[in-house]
Amino acid sequence: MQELLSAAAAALNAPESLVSRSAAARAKATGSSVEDVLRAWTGGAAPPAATAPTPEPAAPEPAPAAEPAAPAASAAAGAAGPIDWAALAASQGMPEKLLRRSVEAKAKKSGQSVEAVVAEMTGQPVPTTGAAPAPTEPAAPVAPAAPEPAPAVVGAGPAVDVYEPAGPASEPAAGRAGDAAGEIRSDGIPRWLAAVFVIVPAFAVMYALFLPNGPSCGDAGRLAVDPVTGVAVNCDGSEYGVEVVDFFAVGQEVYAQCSSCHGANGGGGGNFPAFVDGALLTVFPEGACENHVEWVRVGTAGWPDPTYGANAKPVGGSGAVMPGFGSAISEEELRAVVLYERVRFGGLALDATLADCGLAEEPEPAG
Amino acid sequence: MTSTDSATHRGAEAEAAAGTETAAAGPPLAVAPALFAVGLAGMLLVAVKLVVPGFLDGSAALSYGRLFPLAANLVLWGWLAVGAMGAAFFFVPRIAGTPLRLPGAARVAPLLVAGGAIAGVAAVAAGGNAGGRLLELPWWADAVVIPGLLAAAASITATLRAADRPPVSGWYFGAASWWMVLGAVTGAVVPLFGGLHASLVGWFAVTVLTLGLAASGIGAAYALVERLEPEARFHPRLGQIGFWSLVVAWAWTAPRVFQYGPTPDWLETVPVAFSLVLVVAVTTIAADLSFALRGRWDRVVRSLPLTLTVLGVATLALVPLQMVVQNLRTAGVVVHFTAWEAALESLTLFGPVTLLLMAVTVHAAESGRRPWGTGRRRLLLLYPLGLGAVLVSRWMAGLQQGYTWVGGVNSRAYPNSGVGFRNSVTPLEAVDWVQVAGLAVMLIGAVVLAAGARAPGGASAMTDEAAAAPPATRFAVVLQGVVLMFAVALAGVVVVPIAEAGDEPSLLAERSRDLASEADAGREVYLREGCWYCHTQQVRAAVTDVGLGAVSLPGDFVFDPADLLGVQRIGPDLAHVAARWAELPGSSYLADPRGAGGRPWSTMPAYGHLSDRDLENLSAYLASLE
Repeated sequence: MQELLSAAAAALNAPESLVSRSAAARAKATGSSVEDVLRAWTGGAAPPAATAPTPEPAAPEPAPAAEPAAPAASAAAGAAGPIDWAALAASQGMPEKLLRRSVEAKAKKSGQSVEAVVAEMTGQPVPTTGAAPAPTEPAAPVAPAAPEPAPAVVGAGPAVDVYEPAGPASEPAAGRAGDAAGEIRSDGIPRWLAAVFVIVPAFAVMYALFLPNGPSCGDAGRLAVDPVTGVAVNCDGSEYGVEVVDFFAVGQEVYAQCSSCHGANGGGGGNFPAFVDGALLTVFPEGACENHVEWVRVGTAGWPDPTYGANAKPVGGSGAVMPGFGSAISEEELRAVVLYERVRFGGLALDATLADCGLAEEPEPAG
Repeated sequence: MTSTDSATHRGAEAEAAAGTETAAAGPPLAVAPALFAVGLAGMLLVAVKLVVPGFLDGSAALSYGRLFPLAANLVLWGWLAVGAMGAAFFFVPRIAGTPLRLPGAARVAPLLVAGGAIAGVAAVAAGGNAGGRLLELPWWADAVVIPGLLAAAASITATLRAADRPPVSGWYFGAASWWMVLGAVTGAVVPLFGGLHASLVGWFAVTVLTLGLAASGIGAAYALVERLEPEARFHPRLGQIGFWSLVVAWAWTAPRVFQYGPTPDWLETVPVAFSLVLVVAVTTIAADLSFALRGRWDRVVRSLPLTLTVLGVATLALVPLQMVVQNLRTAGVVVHFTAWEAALESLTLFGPVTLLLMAVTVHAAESGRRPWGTGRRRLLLLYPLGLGAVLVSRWMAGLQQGYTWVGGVNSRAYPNSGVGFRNSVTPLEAVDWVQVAGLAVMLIGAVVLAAGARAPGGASAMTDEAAAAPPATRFAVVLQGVVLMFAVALAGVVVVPIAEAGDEPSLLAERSRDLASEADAGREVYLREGCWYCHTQQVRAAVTDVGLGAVSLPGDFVFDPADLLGVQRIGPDLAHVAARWAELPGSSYLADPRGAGGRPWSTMPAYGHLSDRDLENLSAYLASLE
């Protein structure tokens, strides 16, 4: 049995484990014994006629192209006579020129004559050695040069699911020179195609089941629609693509330029006014952010009136000079630093002050 | 024209001599390639206009919006439909093993289709655009074309029924002839609808038409292999699996143009699932043909018709792949409305079906004569090279455009309208030039084909291909299945969505109901001049459309007299253009978009040739799109 297996593996040019598995499957399918199957596959041990005693009663579809036996039954161009390149090319399914080059290269490499290589290819006894009809390396050297992809041949062999059909399947075809090489006579559909039949529709069904109404908001570029304006918005209803800027943090950063005079904690110093303890709101009370912004923008030098603020403080009255920051920092930074002062030192609510200083929309009225 | 005359003559002679069946196939196979070359030349001009906007400016009939439908329809009807008819008349008698039935109808059919199409595209060029992409022929042209398609279908069906159980190639030819009729009839009723409904009907009609054309091509592929490689054997089941999955799936892919659009969400899932099933169909067909040709590749390389057949089937495999990418939402949100759509259109007009009909044309021209010489073969094989360049250029352009849109919005830099659109236009110049080069190379192949096309000559002995174990299904049953599946798809992707969308107008729709008379006339100009080939009027709830205004609802289009939704943004979306319109110098911008006060980067054609009144009206219409 082991001997038979090795012989079959050698004949099929396939690993023993695969051959043994395939043979078992084949035997089960045809109702014959594993030995019979292996014997048929070795070819050398059993002449082509030996396949007859193991017909395939259970197999509804005949698969002659897949039968690895019978290279001897065929006769291509006589190895002794001149080589019929055209017929050979047709049988091998490759352009004549390419075939010729490939055969010559092989001959040169292996040191054999061109005729011997051709004979080996067509499955005939190699004239010089007179070897058994089970060549150890059937068409293997030629196969890689073949223009068509080997997997296309898989369809022929429902019995042996290894890559090997490319070998034996092409041999009988090679014998019947010019005949329909590699016909698909079997009803078997190649495994990869059968897989396509299952996997692709399954994917389609899954897609339809799991995404019947498309991706939810936030996936695959889908956005929500604002019910009032009708425009595309973020899933939480905010405007798409608008980053929320933390103006308070921006203001804190900018305030570093003010702290030298007004103190890091708004306590003032010397002639410079303090902000804390309601001092700031006395000058610029709640709702007067615009005045405050304007004061920081132009400073004492640019202020048009003699007094400023709600309590009519005289401009420059304390003897200190407030520089105008309008050209030193951006408008946004200007408003942010005013916001920071009013919230941090004046104790005002952030949301209302953001709106007051023009950094956010007017907050929705409560309720 | 001499070649046509002599071809007709020779065809008639052959019929008289041998009572053969090729007479009807002669004229369409000899004439269609000439129409193809003319249509392709038109497409080349259209492509040049994308890169050189001022090219051929000033001529009404040669403006982009008129030249594109002219060229596309000439290819669709004059070449593909007539050529498919010729292929069917050539092969069906051989498949059925009997002379063509109703030969009178078969002789008249291509005349009606080609004549109706030529008159129709002339009308479109003269300003008679009836609306609906690839369905622009005016109603009277439809009234000529449809009887022609019907006559062909009757003749083909009668012949196949005589065979009772024809092989799968016969199924394709028979079914294709009816899909052409069904698609054309559905397309002819589009103008009865308006707005979104017209769009749904129109896309379904075009999809069924392209199914008919693809089926003719596949039938020709099977028939060519059966005829040129008589010993090739097809798998007994694969052919049927391929046919039926095509029948079931293809028509359902029609809603692919509505991803994220103003249609029910489930309708957008439908084309995803069915374009995947189409992958199965096309894989099966390609596998069946390649198994049959296994071991014969040397002969395929030597035979020009077989080479073109294999190229055609390989290109066919691109169609579902292209659709899948466009339909899967993550990819679709990027490439939708971009030049990616143009790639699918190129595949439809110039891809698999064209290659397969080329194979039939060459086979017919070679039959009974010497095979084509090497020089001519090489020139013809330039065509697939050029096609490859065109497809790659459209895919690249689509990705480029889509990613620019997404990037612009996500970086908060600009919306994809007005000046912001520039960023997605200017980088396309290089790939647009590649498209021009590709089309020019394709044109060489098309001219060679037209010059070499002949009616099939020789005694044209009928071989006994029908003896090759036909499938056991009766042709009448096949045809019933085809019509049933058409009806089911029609219900699924047209009738139900229309019923669901209803005709409840949205608030926005009111704007298009009480249009001032100038704006109303302007909308006519918008339709007539084909503005909708380059501008959409729909905003989607998707990233690329942020900043374009309110998202479109089904009810927005209720009062639109025609389908103005559009499928490609060669120019920016116009759904809410009125706000941006105020920035531009009105009708003088339309007359010269790159002129003073305009946009030097714009690729829009100059409409200076329109009358002042038309420009004022168009301007008023755009100003009404709030």
